[in-house]
Amino acid sequence: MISSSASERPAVQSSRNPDAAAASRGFRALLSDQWLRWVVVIGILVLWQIGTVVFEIPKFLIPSPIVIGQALWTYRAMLLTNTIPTVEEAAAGFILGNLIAVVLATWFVHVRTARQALYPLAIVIQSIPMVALAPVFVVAMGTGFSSKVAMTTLISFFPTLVNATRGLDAVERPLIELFQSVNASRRDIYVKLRFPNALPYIFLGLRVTATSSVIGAIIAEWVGAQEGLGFMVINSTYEFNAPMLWATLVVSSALVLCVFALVAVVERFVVPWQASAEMATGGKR
Amino acid sequence: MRQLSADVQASKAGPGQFDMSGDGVRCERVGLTYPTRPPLRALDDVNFHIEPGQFVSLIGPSGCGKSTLLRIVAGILPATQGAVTIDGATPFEAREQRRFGFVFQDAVLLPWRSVRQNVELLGEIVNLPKAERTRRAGELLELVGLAGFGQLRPSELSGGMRQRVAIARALALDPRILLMDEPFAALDEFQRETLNVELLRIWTERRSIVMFVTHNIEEAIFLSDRVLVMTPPPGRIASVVDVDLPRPRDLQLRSEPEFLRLRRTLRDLLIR
Ligand SMILES: Nc1ncnc2c1ncn2[C@@H]1O[C@H](COP(=O)(O)OP(=O)(O)O)[C@@H](O)[C@H]1O
Ligand SMILES: [Mg+2]
Repeated sequence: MISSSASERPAVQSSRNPDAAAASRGFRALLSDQWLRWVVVIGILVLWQIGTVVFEIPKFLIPSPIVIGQALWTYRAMLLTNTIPTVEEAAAGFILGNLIAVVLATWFVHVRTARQALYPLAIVIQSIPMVALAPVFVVAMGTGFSSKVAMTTLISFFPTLVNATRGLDAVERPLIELFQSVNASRRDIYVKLRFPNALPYIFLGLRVTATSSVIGAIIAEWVGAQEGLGFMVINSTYEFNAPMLWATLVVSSALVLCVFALVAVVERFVVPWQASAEMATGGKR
Repeated sequence: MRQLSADVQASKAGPGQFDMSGDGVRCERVGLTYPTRPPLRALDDVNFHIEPGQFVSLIGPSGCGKSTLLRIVAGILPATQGAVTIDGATPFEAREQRRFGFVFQDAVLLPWRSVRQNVELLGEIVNLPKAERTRRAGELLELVGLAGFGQLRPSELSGGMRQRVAIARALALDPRILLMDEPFAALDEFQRETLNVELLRIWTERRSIVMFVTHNIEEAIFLSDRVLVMTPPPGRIASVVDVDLPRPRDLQLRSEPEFLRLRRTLRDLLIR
């Protein structure tokens, strides 16, 4: 993931780069990169297919890619209807958790005692294994939407809290003094300095929590849910339907990839200066 | 706030004309102790007076309290002894009236803003009307030789150009006092010389008090009316050297006998 984002960034930059030669070189590199990735993926699928045939592995143990493909088609309607609740739970928790995280981080940089009192607590909460929390939420809030959202909110909260706090803090002292020298208010310092400065850090949190909120939603659905991709995972396991299980896994990981890509695209629009800074330092941060 | 931003507009002295009235910067028996453990005495009994429109350099080894002194003058850090007055007002009042411009060793431009938007930043903070901000930014970019670079991002500029943007930004509210903390220390020798000449030209057009911190003796002489030599620790002003070299000045000046004599004097003072 990290290498893919680094190699995709220069392509954005190249559109603004007057040096056409450099731009096309960057584009070619990107293309060959993509090719290599597809070759690896297809290679693995082919070997997998050959392996299942040669070693006669029964499809209720490990189905071949072709069988999984057929299952994807057979269960397409069911997969789609079960993707929607998972996406909703993940999205609701993602938005809620990140919103709370940024608000809390804002509070932390302005009120030192708030940080001292609550930051350790947040770390304690974070240290609880999330998988173990799923039953706790179900017991407390029932098997409906809200227990799932509680889970995804909690998962989305911590990485962004840490990163946002760091980003809001990481302002160079001379800049603060510059603002102070014209008697800027704390609000000005926050709006015009701290918050934009924190955006790349916040997006670091968003990248992580976008994927983990989907995973969190699926895990939450393992416990007493009536719909969702996690429900399908459990259901197909009970029915010994390995092709359906694998098809569900394929859809789940496709969903995670989509969500990650979505955040990356939004980041490029919201934080374009970061892309150019990475360019200047050769992709390192 | 609104009231004050109106003041800024009203007190604006246009290019060329400079308001020479007022008392300037006066520092009387100023001392500062940082409340660290153990307490750190950064400044002790600092006295000087800078008249309106004067260019004064502060020179001295690292840690002798030069940056601290600028922070006190700017009203960002209260002195623990003595008093600073800016045209008779306290530094804090002067800060409320937006009388200071600040330039640091690093340009510290905001990377998410274009060059022009960086120059407009302080105008936004004091609520200048958009049209006025635009006008000033245009003028200032031209003044620092960056007309036509306004749309670029800071990351697309060289170190010297970024420092020019920082100067333009500092001038945006027509400060009475320009505080420069080793502004050219991170630049190479050639960029530094160019910017020294440029700074004098800019200062001739936008006359203000300049307090210029540097480690470089030649730079201090070349630019200043007066050089304050500081010693550590605790920081105090060990001597004051008047620079009676004619203006306008160019780089040739540096081989004149009087320049060389001043250089020797300052070197002796700093080594002692
Ligand atoms: N915020 C601070 N808290 C404690 N000590 C400080 C602080 N800022 C500077 N100092 C100390 O005060 C002394 C003077 O620092 P400074 O004004 O930065 O010197 P200069 O700019 O001449 O190098 C140094 O010994 C420095 O370590
Ligand atoms: Mg300093």
